Amino acid sequence: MTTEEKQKKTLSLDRTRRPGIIKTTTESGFEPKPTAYNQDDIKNVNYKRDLGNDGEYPFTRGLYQGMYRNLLWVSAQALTRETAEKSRRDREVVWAGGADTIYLSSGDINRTGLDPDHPLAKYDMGYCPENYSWRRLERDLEGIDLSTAIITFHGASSQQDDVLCVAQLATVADMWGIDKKVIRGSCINDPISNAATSFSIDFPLDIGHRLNADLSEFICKEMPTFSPFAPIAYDLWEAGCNSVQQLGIILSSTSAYCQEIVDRGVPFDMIGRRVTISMPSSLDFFETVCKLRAARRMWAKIAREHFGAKDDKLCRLRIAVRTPGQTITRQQPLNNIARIGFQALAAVLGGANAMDYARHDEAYCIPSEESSMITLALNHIIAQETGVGLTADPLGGSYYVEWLTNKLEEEANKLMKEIEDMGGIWKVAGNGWLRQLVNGARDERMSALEKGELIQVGVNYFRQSEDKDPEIVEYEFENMDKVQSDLLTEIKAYKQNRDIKKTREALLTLKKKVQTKENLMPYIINCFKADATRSEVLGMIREGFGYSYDTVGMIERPSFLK
Amino acid sequence: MQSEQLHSASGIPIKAIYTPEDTKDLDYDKDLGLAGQPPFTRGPYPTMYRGQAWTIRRLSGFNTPEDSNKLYKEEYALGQTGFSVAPDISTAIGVDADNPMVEYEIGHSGLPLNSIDDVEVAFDGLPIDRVSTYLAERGPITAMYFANAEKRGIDLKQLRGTTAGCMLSWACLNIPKQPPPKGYLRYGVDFIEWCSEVAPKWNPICHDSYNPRDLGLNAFEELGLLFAAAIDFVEEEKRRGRVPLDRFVRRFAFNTAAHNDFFEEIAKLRAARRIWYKIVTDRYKVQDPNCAKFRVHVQTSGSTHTAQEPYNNLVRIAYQTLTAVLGGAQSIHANGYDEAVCLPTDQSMLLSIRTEQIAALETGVTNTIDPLGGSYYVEKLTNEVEERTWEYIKMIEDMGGMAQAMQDGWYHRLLRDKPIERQRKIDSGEIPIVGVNIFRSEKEPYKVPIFKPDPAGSREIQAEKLKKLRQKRDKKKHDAAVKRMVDACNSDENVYPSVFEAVKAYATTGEVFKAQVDAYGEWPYPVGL
Amino acid sequence: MEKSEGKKIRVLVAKPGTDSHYKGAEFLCKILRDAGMEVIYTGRYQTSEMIMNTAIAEDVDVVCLSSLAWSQERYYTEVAKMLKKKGSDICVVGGGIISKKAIPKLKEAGVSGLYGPGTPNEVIINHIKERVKKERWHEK
Repeated sequence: MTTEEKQKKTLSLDRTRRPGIIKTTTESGFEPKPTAYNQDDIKNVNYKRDLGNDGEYPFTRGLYQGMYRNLLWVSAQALTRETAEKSRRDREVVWAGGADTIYLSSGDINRTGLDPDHPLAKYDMGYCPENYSWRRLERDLEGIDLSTAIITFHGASSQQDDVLCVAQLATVADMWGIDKKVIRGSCINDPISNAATSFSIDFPLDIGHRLNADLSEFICKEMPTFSPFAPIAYDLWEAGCNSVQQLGIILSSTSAYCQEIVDRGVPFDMIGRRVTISMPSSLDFFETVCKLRAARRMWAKIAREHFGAKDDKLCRLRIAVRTPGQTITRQQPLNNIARIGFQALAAVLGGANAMDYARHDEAYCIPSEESSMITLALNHIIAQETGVGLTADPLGGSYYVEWLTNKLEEEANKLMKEIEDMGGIWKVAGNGWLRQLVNGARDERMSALEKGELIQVGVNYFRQSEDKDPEIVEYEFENMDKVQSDLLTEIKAYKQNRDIKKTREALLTLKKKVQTKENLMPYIINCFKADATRSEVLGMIREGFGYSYDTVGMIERPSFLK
Repeated sequence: MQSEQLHSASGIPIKAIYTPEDTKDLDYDKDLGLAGQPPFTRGPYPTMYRGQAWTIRRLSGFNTPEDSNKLYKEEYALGQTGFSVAPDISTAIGVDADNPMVEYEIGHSGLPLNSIDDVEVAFDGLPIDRVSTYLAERGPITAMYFANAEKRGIDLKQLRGTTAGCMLSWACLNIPKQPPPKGYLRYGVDFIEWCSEVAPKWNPICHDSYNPRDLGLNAFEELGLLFAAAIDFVEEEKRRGRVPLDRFVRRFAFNTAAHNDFFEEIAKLRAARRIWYKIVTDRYKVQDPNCAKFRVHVQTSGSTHTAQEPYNNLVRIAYQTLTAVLGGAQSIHANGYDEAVCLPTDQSMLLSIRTEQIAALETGVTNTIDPLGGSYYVEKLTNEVEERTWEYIKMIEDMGGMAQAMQDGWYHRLLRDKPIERQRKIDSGEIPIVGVNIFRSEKEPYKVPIFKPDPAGSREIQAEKLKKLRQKRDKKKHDAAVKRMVDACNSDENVYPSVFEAVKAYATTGEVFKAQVDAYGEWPYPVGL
Repeated sequence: MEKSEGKKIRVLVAKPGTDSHYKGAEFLCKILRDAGMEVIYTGRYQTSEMIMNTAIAEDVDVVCLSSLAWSQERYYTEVAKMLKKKGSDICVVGGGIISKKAIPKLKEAGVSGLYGPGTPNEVIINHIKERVKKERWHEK
């Protein structure tokens, strides 16, 4: 339609075309009542029992007293580039702009468990720091003071990858003579999410189960200021789950992971202090606020009632929030800045402890400097200009917010009970039930988008020709041919120059230990110290469990291991 | 941030946490009520946005009526749902385009509207029978608008829209050739009386605190000014006794700015509804609560938008828009992100509209009514803003009312001092502005497209039209109508019936303004006092 | 020359490289099947050679490549070139997160469509139908 025709069409529309609300349900499908909420709707809420002040059990109103008045949320930017120099430079820009954490992202090939010289890695390698050996991570961390930095492994959603990342970090610390006990940070370590969303075929849950417990136990004992896991509801959202499902699944998983450690004899006291989860903001503003409040309250009860934590401090749930990449549209990309803004604000109003933002050009390419600057500024605007941090839980007491918090908790509890009744979260993650739930949710959402029931402004509502969209300055990659061929040369040399006998011994030892009940982490670390590569380590673990050496079944176990 | 005493942007001390203790004296029925029920704190309508979203309405206009007509059609096609017309400087001054005094003012900051013909062109093909229009002027142009509507066969009794007419913004902008405050008030009240009879669904006045707020007033000062001005109008009608007060105030409308302090802005709107309800029913004893609804158009604050890193303004505008939504506004103007740089480009216009649509359709905040009602913090803050606003109103009343305070120069001194104070706070960092005095980049990380229209040709176009107009009109009819109008201005009868006839007889804007201003003499602004 | 009545379009949906996103590809399979096409899905982790071999062995009309990874351009052009080298007229259509900069190279290699997020279903379906009818079935 030409502009002329479009105008004619619009001009002839009825006055009631003013966008009357098309969808009145929340994202999770609740229908709020057609009149305003009032005190009758929350008459069962008891302040001390259900809300508490900031920093008080059950932490509905926030984890810490004073909340953002005393300390802002941690802000982070997931930025990795194809060369270590570029990564470092961007990191410095981001820190100057005020972000605190180092994100170490793994790329596609690490997530799949491949080394750069695997045939399938041919074109995918090189875009992220390919830390196939511990020495490459060392290069990445050059100049970083490990006793003060916060290192976050935000592996592209693969639990096996987390294990190897932390093992490499421990290796670097050992090699630098740094006491591991001072290292702060977190990893995801969430095999259940992986199983629910996409990777069950490639990453068998039984391996994930074992490694999850080994990694958690290792961290609790050897790296006590590091978080052993940060289950990632973000992936659940991206796969289609609504707030109720996110809460139900993630808290079941978190509880299960804690249980693993406790079953190994680590007292809950050692874990309780740093339980963390990663949640996405929802599209739905108030659901975002309320699900964070509900999550804290639900976890506090689990910690106290199930794990017997007496000290309030052990009942805290830290929540890192990420604004979802899926809501970023390719059409009219600058609209996304407002979207990210709303999603971020909702998370802060919900009391998030850490924030990570999508970038407005995500549907085009990896984040450019421009879009990164904008989201950095966004973070500062919320913190310094809007005044929302002046008081803790500013929405506390609102009839609607308390009602919705209760509703989300109620529904999520139902889901958790359902999971328990079916044998627990490990079971339903392993037998496909969870995967089916997630797939169903995904289909519902995609169908709603297609039908226009779920509105995406600029995409299925008021769309226009993309010629009018602004020029997005795409990120300029290095000459990837050269980066990739250099990487191949490097890994080849690496494999040739190492003490192959030592490497072989360490790897075969690891494989043997899989059959025992010992914690595999020290053996994995030994492998890295002996210059084994990631996929070699992973291959040994897989074989120990009876799977093929190679995740994708394309290559054989290397000859030196035969 | 530290644990010491912290304040909202208006200086209200904010505690670290608010609890049921803070709202234990809240009487739900008396202080909140249901939405659509007195005292309307929770909203003027029972179902609010569940029934119908706010109007997306952006003040715009440039160059000529023809160019502006194209613009309005484009905006409507992009999803805007209400029209809002900004007259250019020459029209605001009230002088015709061929007058050498305004040689360089034609088509700047708005469009020239010299006669009923210009209004006809500006609204050609637009569905003004179904979509409401805001006219940022005080009456003469609206008379032309009504005449044009009649010509198009639209029933004036069903016509919807708003006339600005507010003392506060006009006096703040120091536009030359205006009547003194008491003259302004006289014509404003005349217009309300007349309009409430001929076009009862039209909002005959829109008290507007946007400009003073943008110059540095805070949230409760803003409300204080707003209501003090409104009270002046009601007092004048009370004195005249021509029209029953309930009919007089029934369609009062308001225009405020949305600033950065998120919760304060929301509390401000809620407090405003409660305050207006009390003024109309307690003070003026109007019985029908439907005459006491604070209906508001909110515009995001241009003064908060930076020229540095303009895309950051998209974030600020998004949040300011959200305060208007959570505060229950009826109509919202999200600025263009490039406001500090130039007139809106196509892109920034699009983004403004889309931002409002995203808030309406994606975030789900419209699923319920007054979602923040009951929050300990928000209710307490609403009370704090209300309390301070009453004090400010009283202070202006003690000076003799808003018009008198203006006459005495108080308003202009305020508007001189506030920006200075604000700049001092920015320079010292007390008011942090990202990209300006904190987290400032060494170099601009990106460039944005600039739009600078050249209205140079507008003057010739308008001058030519005026020449033809004077030739084509029935001279006898015109002269008689103008004389009638001049007589009315010089008496104390309501001028608008004669203004209406005059514009229909092709009197120009300049002629109407001249008649009105001459009756009182041009007011020399009390600047330099 | 065979006419298309009753003849179903055979599609191979393939995911090259290590890109893990699968929802888009699975959704694509569903909508193409609903549109009456026969769809074979290779799953993830395919090399260009594997895709080419499967396409030829299954005698499909069109290969739909789905990738959100940065290797997209390399894989898509490689698959198209490999097929051409074998003298095949199987069409190659691409989707995912398309970099605007890559579009000219992709088009030159013979990859069409290039549908990003937010593309309506009918647009994809119609494009495939048109291209297959023109280049594979040689209909007007």
